[in-house]
Amino acid sequence: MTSSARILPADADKMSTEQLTEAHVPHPGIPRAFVRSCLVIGSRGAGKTFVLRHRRHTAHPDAIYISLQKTLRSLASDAGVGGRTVIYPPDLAATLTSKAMAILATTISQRVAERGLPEHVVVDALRPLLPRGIQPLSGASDLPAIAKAVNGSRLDEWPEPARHLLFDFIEQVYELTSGSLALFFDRADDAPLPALSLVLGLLDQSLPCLVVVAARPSVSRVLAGGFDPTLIAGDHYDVFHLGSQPYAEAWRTFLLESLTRFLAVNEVLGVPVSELSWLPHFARDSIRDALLLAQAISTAGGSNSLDARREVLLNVRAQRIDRARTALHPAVSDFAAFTRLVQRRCAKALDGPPLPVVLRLGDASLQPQLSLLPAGQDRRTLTLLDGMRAEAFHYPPGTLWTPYEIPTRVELAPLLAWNGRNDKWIQ
Amino acid sequence: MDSIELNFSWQDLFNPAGGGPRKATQARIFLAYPFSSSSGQRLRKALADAADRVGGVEILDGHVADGVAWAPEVRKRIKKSKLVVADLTGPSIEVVFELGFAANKRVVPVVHRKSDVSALPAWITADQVTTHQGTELITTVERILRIAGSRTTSRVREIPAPGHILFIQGEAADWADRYWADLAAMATSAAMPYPPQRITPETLYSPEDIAAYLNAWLVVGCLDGTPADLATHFFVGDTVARDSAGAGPGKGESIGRHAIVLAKSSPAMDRHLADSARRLPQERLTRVTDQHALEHTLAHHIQRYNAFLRVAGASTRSRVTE
Repeated sequence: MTSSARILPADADKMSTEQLTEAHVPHPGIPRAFVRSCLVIGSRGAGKTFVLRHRRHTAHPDAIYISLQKTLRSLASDAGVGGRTVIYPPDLAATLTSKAMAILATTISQRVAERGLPEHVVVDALRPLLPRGIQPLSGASDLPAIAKAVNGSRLDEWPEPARHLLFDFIEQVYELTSGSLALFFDRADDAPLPALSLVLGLLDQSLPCLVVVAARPSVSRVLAGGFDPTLIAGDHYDVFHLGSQPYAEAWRTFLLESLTRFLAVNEVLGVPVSELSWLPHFARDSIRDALLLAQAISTAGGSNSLDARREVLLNVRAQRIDRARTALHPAVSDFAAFTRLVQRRCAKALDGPPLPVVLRLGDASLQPQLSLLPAGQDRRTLTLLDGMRAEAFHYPPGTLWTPYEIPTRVELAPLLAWNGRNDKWIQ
Repeated sequence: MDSIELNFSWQDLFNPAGGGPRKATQARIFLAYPFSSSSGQRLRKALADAADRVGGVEILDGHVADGVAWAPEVRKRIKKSKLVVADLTGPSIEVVFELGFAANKRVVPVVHRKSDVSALPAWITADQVTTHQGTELITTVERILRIAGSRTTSRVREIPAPGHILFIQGEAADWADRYWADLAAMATSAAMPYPPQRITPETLYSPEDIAAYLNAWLVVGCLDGTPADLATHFFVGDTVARDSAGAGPGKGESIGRHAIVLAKSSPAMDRHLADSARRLPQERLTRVTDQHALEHTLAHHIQRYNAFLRVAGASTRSRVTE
């Protein structure tokens, strides 16, 4: 009898603790333990969830991991809003904030209660965040019922938000747990704006517990509407930008090492990493893309010839262009034509070895940097951010993410810049 | 690491094909809604604001300038739109006519509240109906813009077949039984190859059935102020949009589609027929309020159909001989 093949999922949120440990390769530039509240920025597949989950199982066992996309699902669903929405009527923003505070506090309550903190004590701390309609009876301690009521409540039941209540609650829980509390918020770019600005407010160093928030660079699209001048990145909290130097030797080594770990565990893939030295350039800062490309190569009829690689890459590129086209419509009339235009303008350079293609977008009349304050939510900035979300554009190598600012220099994704003919890129 | 640095203007990104100034509009969305509805007006404003923000999208509706013949203008606007959003709150027969006229366009049916869905006939709810009450407005508008931007935006109704005649009669419209009897008798006497089909809108549920009935070359619909009138307006709208049945000249030929609407009396006709349908040219729609007029009209169309069969038969024979 043969045992079934072992498969290591490419998504960190689907991995077991053992698998996390097995697959872990230290991210360049990311500390083994967080000593300060921070924002972890990274593209799709750069390893944000992995970092958060890994640190929770190693350096921060007291941390509570919260996927904002899952936790705030009811909020997005009953308000009919998602992370990419940037326009909120003020009354809606207020009720969403109130409800988001209660959902987050209830989730935190449930987690600390699971660790042994008496439920009635946690419920008492939670009480000020709940509207009159769903106040638990005195002495009641049914947290699942409270969570259900909070998630199921109508938005119009929620009063004007008093943001300090969530701070007060967290401080109280922090004390109740004798300081054994850290909060890891993942998928922040999928949270509705009012909830996101709430969570980002928790990064402030004045909060006693450690808070880590992970998001894609395009989170700026959402941040634009929630500009808070009292909270300065790099001052009140740290920012770690995963893969900000995607072509540096350190990142390339990390990517290949991660790939080696995954391929070693995923016996079914069976592609020697030695044959994938061309791959990091195309995967750029995404470990998941590297894995998916390796997987696609392994299924290309067992052949890893140049023709097989080219075919796989062209297929993946067609999908990416389609994704970007949809994301950028209707601002960009023909994204595929734009990639061809880029290729024409640098045809000679593209015939050489692989290089990042950086585009300097601008008109003489524009400022070098586009403000992302609400007034600046013009078509140009939103288009660029939509392109980043669709992984068509990236911050140029070496440029660190800064909230509220979008660079007018962007890198075109290597897969989209490749002309499909130059074999030097795939050797 | 070295990199390739290139300068681009925003214009290069927005309109890479070049060729002069950027085309102002890439997608037009027609919003069909009752003008008197405040929720419809709110949806109109939200769509227009969002379109203005993203650029490249134009929102059209049935408002036309003074002195313009509005009915053909509205039909023209629907024809040039990529997507039709039909606010079926109510529902209004005008909007349902436009829904039928949208023919092969991608259509997004919407209503104000979830409870408005229950007021819709079952055959309309065969398509997913979106709501736009309160905060749902944001998602609905975003969804509409996203659909307008997607590649697969059309849906295809089959080419109408020059086969059957469709008779639409609501459950309460007993008064129309005699008209149906006339139609059935005339079809039998003319030895028409396909017998006419009578449908009751209240029993229409399946999208496949609706698609099949939409193939009729002649639609006869009864109007009496009941919800069944909606089906008549929908089918009439479709006959106007897809104005011929058959594959076309040299391929089996085609016949012009036509609609006949029946009412108990002229005042009833005026009350129950949508204004958009009333403004249709006579070659597309005939209004009938008595049996004699129906017989006369049917005789004309049956004659037309027989002439079509002769031409189509000759065309087919000629192609077979070739």
